[in-house]
Amino acid sequence: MDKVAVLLNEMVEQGIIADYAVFGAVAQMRYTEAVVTFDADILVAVAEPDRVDVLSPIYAFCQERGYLPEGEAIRVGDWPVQFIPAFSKLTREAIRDAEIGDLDGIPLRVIRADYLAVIALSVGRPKDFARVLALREAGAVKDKEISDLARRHNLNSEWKLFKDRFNES
Amino acid sequence: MRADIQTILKKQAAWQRSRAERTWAQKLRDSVTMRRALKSLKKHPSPLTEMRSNQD
Repeated sequence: MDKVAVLLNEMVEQGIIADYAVFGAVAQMRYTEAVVTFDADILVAVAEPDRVDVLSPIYAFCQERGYLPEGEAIRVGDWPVQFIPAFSKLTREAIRDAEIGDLDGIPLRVIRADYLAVIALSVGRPKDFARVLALREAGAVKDKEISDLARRHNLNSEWKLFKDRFNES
Repeated sequence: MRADIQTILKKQAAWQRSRAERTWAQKLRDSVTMRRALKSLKKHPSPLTEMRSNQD
């Protein structure tokens, strides 16, 4: 993942993207035990969001460095990397408020646990619910933080559904 | 609950905590190892797995 971190930081330095933050399972592992995942999901704030081919500069930048497409991802070392342009107010905020994680001395921006949980709630697949449960069990996020953020982004009903389904008693 | 089961559960919880306390970089390397193991298992299923899938 160090190669991915170096690549992303270089993309920001060179203005290919405005900003980025890791999310999904890779971000989850900052807080929980290791899980199996097949790719690294990266939220990106692109320099020109109105372009139709919004990911083209990213793909070109990767290709120049020898990182080639593999399905819907780009292979960077051990990791297929999926670049996902911020697609909502929630994901834009998640990038803006991201933290800087440490990968053996290399900085890697990563979304906060509360954003990770609420994005998972908004997607709502079984594996997303499992992510919220894992984050809660690890003590990475409190219910109040999820509740507050969910309310701000009109995801009250998703949070209620989750609680009804998974809360004990 | 029997005391020996409680001991086993406590040990399991401690083991899980210790896995979660590894550094982020270590856990990401663990994840890559687990992914490779899973792929290898799918390519070369154990006789037991094959037997089970034949029963389905």
